[in-house]
Amino acid sequence: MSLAWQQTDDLPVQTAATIGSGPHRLSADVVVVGSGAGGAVMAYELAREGRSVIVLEAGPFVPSSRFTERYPQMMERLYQDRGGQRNEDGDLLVLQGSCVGGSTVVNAAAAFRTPEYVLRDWREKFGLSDMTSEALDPWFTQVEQRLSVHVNAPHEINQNNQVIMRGCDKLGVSWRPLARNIKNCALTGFCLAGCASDRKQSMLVTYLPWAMHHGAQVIADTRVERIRHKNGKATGVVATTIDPKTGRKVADVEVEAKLVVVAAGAVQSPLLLTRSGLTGQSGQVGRNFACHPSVGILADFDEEIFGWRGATLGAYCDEWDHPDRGGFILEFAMAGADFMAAFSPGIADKHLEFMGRLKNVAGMISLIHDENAGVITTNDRGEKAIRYRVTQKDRETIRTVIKRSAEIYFAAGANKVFVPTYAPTVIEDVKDIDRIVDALDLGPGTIGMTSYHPQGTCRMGANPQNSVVGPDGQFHGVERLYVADASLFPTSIMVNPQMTVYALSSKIAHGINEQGSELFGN
Amino acid sequence: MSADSTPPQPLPNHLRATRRAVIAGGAAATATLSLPACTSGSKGDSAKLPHIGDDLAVVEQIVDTLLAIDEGSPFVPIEKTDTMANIDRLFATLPDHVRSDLSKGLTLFNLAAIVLGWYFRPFTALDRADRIAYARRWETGNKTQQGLLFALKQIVYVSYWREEITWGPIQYDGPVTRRLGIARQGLTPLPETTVEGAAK
Ligand SMILES: Cc1cc2nc3c(=O)[nH]c(=O)nc-3n(C[C@H](O)[C@H](O)[C@H](O)COP(=O)(O)OP(=O)(O)OC[C@H]3O[C@@H](n4cnc5c(N)ncnc54)[C@H](O)[C@@H]3O)c2cc1C
Repeated sequence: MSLAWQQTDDLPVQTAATIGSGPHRLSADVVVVGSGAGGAVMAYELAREGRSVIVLEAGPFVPSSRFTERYPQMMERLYQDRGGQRNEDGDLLVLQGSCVGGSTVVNAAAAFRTPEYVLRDWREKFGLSDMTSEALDPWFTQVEQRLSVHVNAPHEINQNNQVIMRGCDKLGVSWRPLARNIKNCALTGFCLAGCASDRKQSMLVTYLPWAMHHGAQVIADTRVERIRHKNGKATGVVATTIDPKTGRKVADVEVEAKLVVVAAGAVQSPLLLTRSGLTGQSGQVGRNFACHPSVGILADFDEEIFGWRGATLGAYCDEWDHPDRGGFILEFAMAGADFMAAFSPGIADKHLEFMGRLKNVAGMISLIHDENAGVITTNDRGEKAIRYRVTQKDRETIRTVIKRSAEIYFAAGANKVFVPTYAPTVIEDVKDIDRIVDALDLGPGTIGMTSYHPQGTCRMGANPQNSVVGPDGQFHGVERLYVADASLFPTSIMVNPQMTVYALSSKIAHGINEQGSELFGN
Repeated sequence: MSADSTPPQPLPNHLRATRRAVIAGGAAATATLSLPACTSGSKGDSAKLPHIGDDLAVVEQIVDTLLAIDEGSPFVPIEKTDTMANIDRLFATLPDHVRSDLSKGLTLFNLAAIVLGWYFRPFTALDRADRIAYARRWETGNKTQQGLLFALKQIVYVSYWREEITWGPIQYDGPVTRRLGIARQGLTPLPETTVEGAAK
């Protein structure tokens, strides 16, 4: 059966401009909070089984015809807090999408399954006995097929990657082409600003339209303020529709539902639960925040690289991809000048020299298997607070990351390597790496880090005393309330998380569908 | 007086920028990545830059210092861009308390030049070479100084390089999809398969 719509512009998404002043009292079998990786999959899987589904999305509806490939503009339109979400110390930029399709609209499309050593931890420490690679295989396979996940072909690996792979080869360090959820990649390099030609298989062009085909209603610009619950059962949500242009309230929206699914992402989900008085028996809501704090290491080469041209992500280094071998991966990526300018080392002549040679600069980022050391809470002004400081152990992993990256760069022929410390650190000779990097402080407020992967704040587990939701995704102690997003992860997973979110959400949806009439009474 | 030979010194306590000012700078910095498109004129006119307001003199000098584009350089002069207007629009988006903390940070940055390095003049009264030397002291100074300078760099650099006119000298291509006529693929058809084991 084909869809009734061709383009994202055609999708009948309600927005602040169309919803009318309300108040709107709606009812459905299921209300889903958030339209990103977890929410979109859930909406489709339940709608396909004939459930009436309403998806409420706090961010705007931005069809891909309005993706301008200008990073500053798109960060304002598509990202949480206009791309300015930070931890309390200010040294960690926490990037999340906030738009119809959530972070999947702005992600870089790397597609990994959950590593087996992570699943083993989840089984052994959190009683998630059915989280084996084999048991999850059908969920991964299904979503991989649907989202055209494939290992990058040679033409999808750009010059930035080729240069770094050359360094890896010289050192005998292992690298692999990445798998990505992309169909006919146009090699424009603008994944992080939204794919203007719909090649990236984000939720905006896949699961959300499919859910709408089966009758799901998607309402954008609408932030869920509270979850309603009574006698240990969730009964619906209370939301506000805000005009994104003026910031003014347009309407109150209430949805009465037999099931509430929270999929607002790992920062917002715990805040919503806490606002709703749902702090759980374990006291773990909002705790155990992890985020793969990433440092971007850049290097200057004689040759012209034009790293922003071609697919955003091509290959990665898997040499240290297990905690016993380091616990990090390196992904090879650059972006456009209006993004990279923010990461420029030095000032004045040093800055201009760097920008003048940007076409000769290669880039890679690290993802580490970080400890669940953070808390999402509110400060004394009542605002969201991300309290996350890299632990001593993780700081040492970051030190190793810097050393290994620099070695790879010099093996590839780099002239110098730039470390993103606030006080500029430039390494000009391979012999200096250990001396310079060992001397770096790397404590809070010394190095600029970015998280693309917040997770872990509503951890899943069998024991209500140390986890927030059960193995079936249901909130411990509250019936008809489910969580289906990256906040479920009991520990950090080191690799890019979207596929794990899709698989978990598919599995949870399956469990809900299995209960069928028991839950929905029809 | 030049400060080049004097090693970096910590700021006196009463002049030390507060941690909140630094965080305010950080918030402002990342918000810089997300300014609305702007069309208005650029520099020097406080009526046109109402959100920079009283900080105009120090912000102008910071922009000049951090970019330091000389006449005849291949880079596009600041006044030919909307850098100042972009910063103004950024400041307009900041919550009041963040804007106020940032203003305190800017004031401290300006006045600390009097004692730091013994310039005996505020930052705005220094010549460009001294301003650059002073900014470098912050860049490598204590954590608070480094944090604020890092934030200022982000504000200035993104506000300048977001301007299309600046891309030519560095051969940055900018947006490509429309220029190259790449077709939109549109919505992905409904999936036909349900994998065994994932079926109901
Ligand atoms: C720049 C970037 C690059 C990335 N690259 C990759 C990659 O290459 N590979 C990979 O695997 N992963 C990547 N990720 C991460 C991946 O996209 C996320 O892990 C995944 O999308 C998380 O899914 P989620 O459902 O938890 O949240 P999201 O997809 O973030 O969706 C949450 C949605 O909920 C909405 N929301 C929040 N609060 C409310 C509320 N109160 N009411 C209503 N709606 C609300 C938000 O606006 C948002 O749209 C990247 C992320 C970013 C930001």
